[in-house]
Amino acid sequence: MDVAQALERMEGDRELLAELAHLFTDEWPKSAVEIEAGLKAGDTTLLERLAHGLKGAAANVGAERLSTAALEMEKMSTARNLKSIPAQWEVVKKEAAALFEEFETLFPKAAH
Amino acid sequence: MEKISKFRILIADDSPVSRRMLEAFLVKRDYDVISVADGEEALRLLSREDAPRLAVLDWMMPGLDGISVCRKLREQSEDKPYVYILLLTARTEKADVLRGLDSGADDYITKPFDPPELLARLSVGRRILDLQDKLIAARDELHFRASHDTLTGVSNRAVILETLRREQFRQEREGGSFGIIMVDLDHFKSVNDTYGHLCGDAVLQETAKIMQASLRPYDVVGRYGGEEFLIVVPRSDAPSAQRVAERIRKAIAAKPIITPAGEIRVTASFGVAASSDASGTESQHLLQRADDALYRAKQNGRNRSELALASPLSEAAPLASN
Repeated sequence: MDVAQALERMEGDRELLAELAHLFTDEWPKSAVEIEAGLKAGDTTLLERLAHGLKGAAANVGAERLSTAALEMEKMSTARNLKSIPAQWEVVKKEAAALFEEFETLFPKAAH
Repeated sequence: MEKISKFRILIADDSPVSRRMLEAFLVKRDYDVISVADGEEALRLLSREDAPRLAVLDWMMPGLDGISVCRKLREQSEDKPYVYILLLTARTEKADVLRGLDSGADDYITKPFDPPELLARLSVGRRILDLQDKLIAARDELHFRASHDTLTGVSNRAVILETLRREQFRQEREGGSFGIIMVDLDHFKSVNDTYGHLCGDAVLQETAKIMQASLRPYDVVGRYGGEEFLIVVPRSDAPSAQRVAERIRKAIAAKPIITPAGEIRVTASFGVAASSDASGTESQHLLQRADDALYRAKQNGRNRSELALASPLSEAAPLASN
């Protein structure tokens, strides 16, 4: 995660970045459930929108790698490439897990 | 100390993170931010009479998306204050941009937004809104000046005559009747001669005010000539129009008017005619009859109202064609 860049976007407001990290963490389980459902239903339109949202939110908190992974998933959904999406979703989840670990260290309070 | 009114802005984004970030950013820039999570709520708030004038809408939202909000909002009446819409989108392809603008958005900005760029684009929006407000105010002002008498503030001659014609068309369509009252201030020339034109003006202003205060909201008074006023009284017959005239007559006579030269007592005479008791409803004819009644009011001693005499058809026709 590029904290420096994220902070620059928040105009140095560390508290705001912590709050956004908190929001992002809170939102994650809901997004994950929706994406799993989209995968099961083979609904690429829904997956496209969810991946798109995830990409934007991740970019906002400075999570470049997660954002890039979500962008890939969005592209696959746009292309209706149902076969490759599940594998990409695994990549996204791995990046998210790594991000949450970083959040724990950076913003201890954001974890609960 | 209360800050001078912050500029209200609506933001709509389904992602809590993006929404909060945008909100925090704008609050720091002294915007009064209203944030919503979906397009339906955005449309509801932007459709209100007191809607924020600036909106930043995320293109992609579940349910109603950003461009649908734009489209639906632009379909609404043009009487409402204009809402300047900035579309927030990750779509950068030309076709998407064009589609966004075509839906009625004023501008777009790509996500993740660049803070200085967002601020610059919002100030463009505010500049345009400000310009629009000024133009509307200027248009309203011009419209008022073009339709009102400068001295008294009541309708001018052209407008009161137009009101009379409209009332006649309405009557032809829907039936019923309406009344007109011709008002002339008594001995006005001597007010001007004795006290000067400034006082004469004050008398005209004050009597116009009294007339307006005595009328129902849908009655219209206009300055017809120098010291002559014409009142159109919709949905009324001759006796009820005369009651209106009497009410005004008594109000004018009741107390002296305060002018730069002191208090002046004035009275007025009234000629009343109603469309239903006329054999023809041509406006010239109706005006002529009210004028005749006014003449009788003057003849019969002033400070009184007279009702127009019912006229036979044979008499009405030549007058109407004049």
